[in-house]
Amino acid sequence: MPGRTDDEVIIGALSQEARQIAVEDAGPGPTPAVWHRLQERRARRSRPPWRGLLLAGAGMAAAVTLLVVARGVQRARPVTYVVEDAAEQDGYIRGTSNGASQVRFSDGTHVDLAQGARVSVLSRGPRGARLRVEEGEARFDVVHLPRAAWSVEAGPYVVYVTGTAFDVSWSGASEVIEVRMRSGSVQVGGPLLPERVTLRAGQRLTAKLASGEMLIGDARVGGGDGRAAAGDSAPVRTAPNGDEAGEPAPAADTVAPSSPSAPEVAAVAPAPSPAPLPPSPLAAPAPAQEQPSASPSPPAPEPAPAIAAPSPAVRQPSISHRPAPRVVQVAFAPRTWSAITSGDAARVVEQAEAHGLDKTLLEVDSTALSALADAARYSGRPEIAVRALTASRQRFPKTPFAHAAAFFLGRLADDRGAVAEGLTWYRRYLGETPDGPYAAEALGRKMLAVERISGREASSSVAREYVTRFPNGTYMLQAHAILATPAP
Amino acid sequence: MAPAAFRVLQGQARDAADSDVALVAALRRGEPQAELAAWNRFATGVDQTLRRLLGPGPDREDLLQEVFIRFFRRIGTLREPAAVRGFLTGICVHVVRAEITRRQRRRWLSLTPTGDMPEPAPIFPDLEGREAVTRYYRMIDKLGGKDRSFFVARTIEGMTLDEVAAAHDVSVSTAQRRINRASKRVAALVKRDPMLSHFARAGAMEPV
Repeated sequence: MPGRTDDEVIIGALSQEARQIAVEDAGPGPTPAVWHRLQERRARRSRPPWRGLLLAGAGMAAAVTLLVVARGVQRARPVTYVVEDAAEQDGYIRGTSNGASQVRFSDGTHVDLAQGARVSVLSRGPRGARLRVEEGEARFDVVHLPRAAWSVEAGPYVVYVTGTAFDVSWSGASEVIEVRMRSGSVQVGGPLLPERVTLRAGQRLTAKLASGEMLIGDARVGGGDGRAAAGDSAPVRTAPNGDEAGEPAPAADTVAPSSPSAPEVAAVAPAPSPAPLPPSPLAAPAPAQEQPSASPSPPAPEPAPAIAAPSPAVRQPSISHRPAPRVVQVAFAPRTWSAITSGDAARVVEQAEAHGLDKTLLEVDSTALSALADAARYSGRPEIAVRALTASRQRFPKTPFAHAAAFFLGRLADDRGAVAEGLTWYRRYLGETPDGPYAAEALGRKMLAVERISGREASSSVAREYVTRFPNGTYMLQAHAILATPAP
Repeated sequence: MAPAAFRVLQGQARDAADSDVALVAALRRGEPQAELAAWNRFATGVDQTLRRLLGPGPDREDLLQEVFIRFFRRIGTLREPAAVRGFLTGICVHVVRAEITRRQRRRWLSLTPTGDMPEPAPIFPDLEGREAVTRYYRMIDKLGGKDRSFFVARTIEGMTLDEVAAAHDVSVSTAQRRINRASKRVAALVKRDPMLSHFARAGAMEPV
């Protein structure tokens, strides 16, 4: 190789191999359980790295500690609560039929549960608690105290509270959250929100996961789908950073879906015919997708969606384009999220299998399906993950879940050596959501897949695109390596 | 037409660099969810960087955690928020360097070559390449903590000379000197190993 010494050639070749092995060993990456353990480690980490300084200041610290401990004993007690006129069962607090169910906390905060609503207290601290609306509606009156820290989870959403009054309702079946503000303000974070959104008194947020709609408006306006009637109060425009611009919202804003790439969705090959859910794509792979070929094949058509997704320009209730099966609440839905984040992914898979995997794949909602796929991946059950992801794409086409499923199907195929199939899925994902959350990863993996199948020269255009779009991306080194090597 | 009382917020993904800056800002503001967002965004990349810096072996979750613990603690010292990924890579370099030093201490005291408990040999398709890389890292480990760190950061992680110097808090010329010295030594060691030498030359000859 001209211009390079023998030493450089040797080291270059071995270093390249080392990078390759690192990529092969990478797998699906750290699981949420690692994050959970990191949090635990941080919480119990009592020995700071500056031990020497600590020892030197120990005398002074001891005196201060005495004072702090004396005051801390009072402050560090977590809030306590009592349940009134509600049933407690399996960690849930369930609103009873008389409508007077209430959870009262020691700081004066109280939560009123609607009939049939289920709430759980996930954790308690000195300044607040983490609550979860598992199902139904609950009214929160959080006492505003200095440094109060309350949060309310509902589905994948979190409402951050310091002191205010608001109502939260969550339906696992239709995957709809509604937050109605009565006073004060809260912040809401979760899917479809680039950042937390601040809600103030009188506002209402409605998020429909299945259709990807996120609506913020006047809480006084009625209507199940959040549609405003003529003569309603002035609309509130809320920017993603939570600042209110105070401008009237344009009429067209009321009906846009959340997918930023709706036109590209149409480019996906049309489905030939409706098809039932496959028993297992791993068990019976399609030969054209499993066998790496000399040149990457174009994306193969997918099984047809059961019911067409709504047009980008027309609002449709999210529930209308799903097969409306019986939704399994017992095994899945709300609890699944906490099970996964607490590192108990295996339990989620067990629940699905106990219920019957085929049945589960047909019955659960898109959130639970996505959670099942995650759980299967995290617990080393790729065959179940593939089935869940495939079901997600078939049952909830053109939703964020379906788009993400394309990426994960590619990654799973990649991991089991089906490079061509992986490439097909990456292309499909990038076609559906060019700026989606996994775009960088998908493009990087696409680049490597093209290199493997068709050689370095063929992958150079993808490498160039990667370097341009993601100059600090994970695959930057490989992209530069591809671009730096002259074509043979 | 009735006035619209609602506005749709679209969940559009932002440009990656802008998002990094926004994320750093959120971390500095101490928003609790920002840490999880940072983990979601960077953990896979950090994991891969650690693999490249350390070489093949079992997952080192503890090192991944250590990187993020330091990252969250030092986020306030990051001068240029857009350079957060380079900042993380620098932390990886330091964490791995400390790990190598610890291993060398334990190797001196214990029976295993790495200081870790031996793992059962896994079965991989590319046995020759894997064997070569394992040997390669074993030779790199002979460099000692400092030179190893410079060498791996430059040759395997692919950092620029400026980045290597900044990560190790030395001048560019010092970094260059250490890399050159380490490269000569590693190349000499590789040439003495027939399998590795053959693999490296064959790999370099192969059309890619």
